[in-house]
Amino acid sequence: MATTTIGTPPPKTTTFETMSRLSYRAVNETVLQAIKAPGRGWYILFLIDLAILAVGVIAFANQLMTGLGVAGYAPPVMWATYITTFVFWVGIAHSGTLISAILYLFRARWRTSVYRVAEAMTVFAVMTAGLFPLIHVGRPWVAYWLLPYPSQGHVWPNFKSPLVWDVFAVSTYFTVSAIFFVIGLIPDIAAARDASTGWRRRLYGILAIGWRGSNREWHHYSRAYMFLAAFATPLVLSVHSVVSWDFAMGIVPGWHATIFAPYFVAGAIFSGCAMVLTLVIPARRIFGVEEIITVDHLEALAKLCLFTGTIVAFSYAVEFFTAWYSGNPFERGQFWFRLTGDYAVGAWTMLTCNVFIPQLTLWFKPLRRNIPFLFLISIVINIGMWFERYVIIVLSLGHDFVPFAFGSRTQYVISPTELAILVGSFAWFGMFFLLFIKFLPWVSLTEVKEVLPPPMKERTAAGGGH
Amino acid sequence: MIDRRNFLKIVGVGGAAAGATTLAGCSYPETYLVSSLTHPSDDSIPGVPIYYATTCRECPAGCGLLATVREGRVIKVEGNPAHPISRGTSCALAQASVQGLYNPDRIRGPLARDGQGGFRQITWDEALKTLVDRLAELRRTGQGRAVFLTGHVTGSLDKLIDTWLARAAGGGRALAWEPITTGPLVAATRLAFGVEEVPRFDFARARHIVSFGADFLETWLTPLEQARGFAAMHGFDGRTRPGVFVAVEPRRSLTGANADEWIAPRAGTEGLVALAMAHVIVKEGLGPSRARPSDALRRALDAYSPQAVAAEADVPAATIERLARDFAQARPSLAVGGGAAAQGPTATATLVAVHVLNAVAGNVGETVLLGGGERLGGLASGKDMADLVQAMNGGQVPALFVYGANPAYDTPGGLGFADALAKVPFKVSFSSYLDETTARCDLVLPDRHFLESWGDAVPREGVYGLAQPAMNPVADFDARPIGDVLIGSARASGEAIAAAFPQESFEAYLKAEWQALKQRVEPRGDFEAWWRSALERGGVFVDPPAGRRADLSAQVAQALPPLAAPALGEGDLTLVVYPSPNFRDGRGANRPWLQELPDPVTKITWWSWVEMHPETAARLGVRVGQDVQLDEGRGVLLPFPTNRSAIMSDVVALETPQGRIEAPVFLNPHIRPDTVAVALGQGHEAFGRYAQNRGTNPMRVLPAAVDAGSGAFTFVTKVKVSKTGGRRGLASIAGADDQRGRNIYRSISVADAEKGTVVAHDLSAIPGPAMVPPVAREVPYHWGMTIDLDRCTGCQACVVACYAENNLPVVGEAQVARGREMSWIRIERYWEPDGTVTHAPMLCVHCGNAPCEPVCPVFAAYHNPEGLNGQVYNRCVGTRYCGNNCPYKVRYFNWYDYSRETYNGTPNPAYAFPSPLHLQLNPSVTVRGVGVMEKCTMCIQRINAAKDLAKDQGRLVRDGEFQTACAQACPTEAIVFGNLKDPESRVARLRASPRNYAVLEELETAPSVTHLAKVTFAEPPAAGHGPEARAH
Repeated sequence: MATTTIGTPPPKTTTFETMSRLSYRAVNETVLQAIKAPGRGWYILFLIDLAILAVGVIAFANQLMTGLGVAGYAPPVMWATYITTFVFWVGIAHSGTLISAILYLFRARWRTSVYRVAEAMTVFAVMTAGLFPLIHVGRPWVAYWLLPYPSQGHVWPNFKSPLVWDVFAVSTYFTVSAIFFVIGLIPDIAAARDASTGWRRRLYGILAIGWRGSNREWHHYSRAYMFLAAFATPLVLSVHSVVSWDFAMGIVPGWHATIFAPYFVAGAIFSGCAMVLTLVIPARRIFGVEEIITVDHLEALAKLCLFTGTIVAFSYAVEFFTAWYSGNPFERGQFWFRLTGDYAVGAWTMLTCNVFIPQLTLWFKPLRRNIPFLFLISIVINIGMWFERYVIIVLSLGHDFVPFAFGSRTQYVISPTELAILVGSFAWFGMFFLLFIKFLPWVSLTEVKEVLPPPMKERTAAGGGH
Repeated sequence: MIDRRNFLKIVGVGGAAAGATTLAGCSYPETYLVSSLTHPSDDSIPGVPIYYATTCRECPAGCGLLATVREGRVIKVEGNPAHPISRGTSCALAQASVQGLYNPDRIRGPLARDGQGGFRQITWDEALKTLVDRLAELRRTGQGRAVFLTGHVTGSLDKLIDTWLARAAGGGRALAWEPITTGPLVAATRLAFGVEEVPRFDFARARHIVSFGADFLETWLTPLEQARGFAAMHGFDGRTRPGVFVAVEPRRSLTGANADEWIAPRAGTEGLVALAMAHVIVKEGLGPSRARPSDALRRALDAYSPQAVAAEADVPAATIERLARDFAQARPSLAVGGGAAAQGPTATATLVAVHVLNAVAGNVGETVLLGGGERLGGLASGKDMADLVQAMNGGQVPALFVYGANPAYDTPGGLGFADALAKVPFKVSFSSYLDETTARCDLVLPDRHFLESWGDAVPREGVYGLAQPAMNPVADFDARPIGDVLIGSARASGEAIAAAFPQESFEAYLKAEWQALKQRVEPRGDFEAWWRSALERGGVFVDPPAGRRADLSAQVAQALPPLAAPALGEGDLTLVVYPSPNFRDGRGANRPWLQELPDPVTKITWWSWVEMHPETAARLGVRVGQDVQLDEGRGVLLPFPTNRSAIMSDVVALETPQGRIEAPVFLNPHIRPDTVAVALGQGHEAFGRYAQNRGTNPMRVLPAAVDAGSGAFTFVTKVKVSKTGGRRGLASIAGADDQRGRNIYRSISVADAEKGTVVAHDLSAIPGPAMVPPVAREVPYHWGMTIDLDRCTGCQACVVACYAENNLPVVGEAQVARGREMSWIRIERYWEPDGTVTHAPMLCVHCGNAPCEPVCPVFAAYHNPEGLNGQVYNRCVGTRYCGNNCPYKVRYFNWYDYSRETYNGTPNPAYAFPSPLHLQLNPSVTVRGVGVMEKCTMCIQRINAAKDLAKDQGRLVRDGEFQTACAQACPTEAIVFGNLKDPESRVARLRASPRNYAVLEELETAPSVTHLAKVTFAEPPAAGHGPEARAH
């Protein structure tokens, strides 16, 4: 192992016992074995995924042709599943950069095994989220008007609008996380290049941009990586803060609250960690990397879920308290409506999935280390977090100021088009994830090795791997 | 390996290709505007509207209209300011008349039976030949038994029909059939005062009005004139509230919703309440001395003590006594009777009782004027219709001519008109639409629409309304004016008959009639000049007969209703059938605007409902609003938002021996628990795509029973009510029925209003700076509006006017059920805890500090220097954030492409303007495409036109020079528009009223449209609280 710019050697009292038995070679072999010609199972999965995606694409094409009327919108509910799903995916995108950047800066060594998956998830989730504003607007063919480009009309976007902030926040976040992801991959791709032949070797050759593993390269790499980590860190907080301002800057009761930015960031990490669990638990099993991604890692993720979940629960309490304490009839009306009104099932689903179930289970260590349970609860949390956004958007809009204009006469119900596009978005994400897991090293070879005892008196097999 | 050069090549070519394909795929198709190089033949200038005065034929009231003509076609109608009845205002039905003109289901040419149960198109030559031949046969064998059935027709056409019937058809009877009849009123006036006429009522002068079921703001007599009078007597005038209005009716109508107090007697006992009031007035000597009743009447009234009546009418005696005292003390007062009270089995007796009440309170000659020249009577009674049916069944009617009436639809099911009609050998309809009666006729000779024809109407002596063609006939329809057809067929029937018809056309006939009229009203001067000025003004308007007082006839005591609730047949609940404020008797049902226009009381669109008291519903186990209905299978049911919705209702069946109808229930707390109500107007079997198979026709369950006094049909009957087990959604626009204590639409007490209590809250107490400092704008205008909640009656003429002016699409029932109606202005209806009903017009209030503007990412929502919130449709991306952030919820999104007829050749089902309805579209207003947000523009096209004109003339726009469409239509001047920067403008002065406040003012949106608080009596108006009491 070359000099690490982090400076300090790994602490001796690591709890990740199983990992420390691994050799560098074993790590390389275990991880890189995933990057072989895909098997039949992968192909079947991929085709199913594409089929689901196709349904979503057809639904969208139909919507584009006939208008947004095919979605279930029922004014005053003019934002619904699409924006809910947009925020959901942006939220998912959060934990990736959190794990790779913030935990990197905080030297949380348990991140090494899972950060690559989390980072890939981030990039793909942003790519998914980015579709939804386009699916959602009435005239997607002119959505580029939200970009500040020089036009003959001399009209720029309205920089007062949180939606324009959104464009910048999400695109910046995507750019930085994609660069961070690609840079972080370089040494591992070089390892993959060295372990492969044929077209794969050429492909990895391009992506590895000539990495040879020299000291100088490692030096620059480490510096760049840390710089990007530092650069990405504020983005983790900013992007979801800005997304939360899409709502908080509005005057809709249930939206217009100062707590929204931290509340959204915590919620995003909550759902993001849950999504990492959802993805990693089957993957470690399928690719047999239980020794690299151990139950300790999963427990660490579960703790992060518990922590952010507690913030989320607290935020819910604050929202309700503020509504009551303000004495504002519109706020009070809105929060009473959430629990008792037309869409109360949505609010109770949210509370059950995000507060009751996690708070009643994740405090207990045996449950946190119970892998099937973690898988289950990660899905519960994801459902809950989707409903959180649903509640914020649909319920707030359904019951605001003027009683005559309440949505009670006509309720928003998700339409087949929206359902197809929602499910299709998972397929879109899944498509990228399946490709990633088969074509790129999905556990960071470099960083896993950093936490292993360095091999003594033995040459490393893989060239640049270290 | 890729070198730098190759890399750039690939990126460059790939990027350009991607860009090119994307851009090519998303561009708009090129379109061309071809401007006219030759000047049109008439005096029109493209882009400049011409106004033609004419007379509305949508109901018997005969109001004056101005038809706005652009590029040779009528695009809108407005009230004619010169006309004494409507005074420049208009109603929903009149506004929708242009959809009668351009109705896609209008008959396209003359039709004859094809022998297979259908019709075939024929030519006019063929049609006239058939008619002439049949007329000849009729003259030979008909024995003068032909029948000409019309609606309420006055003026020249009335006379022509009589002449034609006598000469060309060999004699016969003309019957004017209107289901909403004045028959009982005419009969009651004859019985009470010995004069057979409709009296004139002066609403404006009354200081206390008690309406016994008369829906005088909706369909009764002359609604616009009455609404204006009502606003004058009931609206807060800046100093005081002149009068009190109490409604006495079993089901609270829209008119009743405007009352300060609603008293609900048993159906059919309204007259007893009136007599009990008269009893109190006479007994306590509250009336003026000149109104002292005869001894016979006095003795007769003795029986009708409040205590005796209380048991029959189910109204507390104390209430009757209080009401009687208030009524007598406020002078002059006015009692009117109509609606269900005038269509019960004792209708005439009830109205006699109302006349007696007016007489003993001294109102006759004050607010009730006899000899006032009203021409709203002369209608066929139910008994006449029953005789006709009998004659038809007996084969004694050789020919039936129908014009402006639809008896196959709007006569009681018990009468069996449609079946009898089949036995008439020759049936001719002059209708423009294939309605139920026309569909059963043998020959259809479609009349031109009144906006394409000559005509006149005399609703009142002195009000001689003239109708002229405002445009060339719509090219899609090969129609001929009925007058021309009558004259033409007569002139083709031989010399002798032709001699009786010296004029060749109805236009000439009309002119000749008006020459005779001129001899009467203005014998001096040149006819042509007089005629021309009459055309310009829309008629000749001279003072009507002054009207006089009259004494009660000696026999009036014998005509009083018996002291018992009338027997209404077998059944558990009483059904009241009432005229729909939107469709009247059903004639408006083929106008899509009126279908999409919510019923003003229930706020339901496009369907029928049964109004039922919540207690009754609970007793019958009827559930309303338990779950969601999904439209057209477009939604799928997920487990979450399924509980508690206000829209699904149990369907109930109403059964009588005559038939059975089914409709979903609407829970109305403003109906007696022993009563259910269904509106007339829906349930058409024919009458075009908008009316057909929609809702239910309550006429079908009515017996052919008639009122003894006048022979009018009874619209009140007992029914058996049962659940059918079915459920159905009702597309309502009401998200809530009360204000949830939010006090958004404010009201203050009369006492506070008189003290000048300021309604707006003092927001300067709120710490911190205003969110956006006011910007001084160096322009002379700030357009604004005030909406007086105290004057709005909820009639919704403004809503239809807005549809007409601004090209609003009609979206249909399924979309309204999804909340996707596009109505830029809506009337919110709230049932208040104090028993009053608030009608609150809500439209874009054009905030000075607008929540919609900053959130728009592309400046599609922007602020204009003159205080308007603009919406640039072409710039809109459709994020809908503006709609979410609008606290007033007045922004509407184009969910489908309502403006596009086809998609690459396939018809677009959402297209809102099927040909030739598109000819009505206002060329000054964009028809919005899919995916953009729209909202009230404060009729910016009118603002710009007025500013252009003012600029040409080197001046500023004058106050009142133009109005928005809503303000122009408003019958009560509740909506006032103008320039807020002009301190002398009406709107600026109203805005200075202490009652002025901004809705949701705590949001500091600084709206340009503000509301004036409603003025109410906190308690029911007790004795000593009325304005007269204060004056003493």
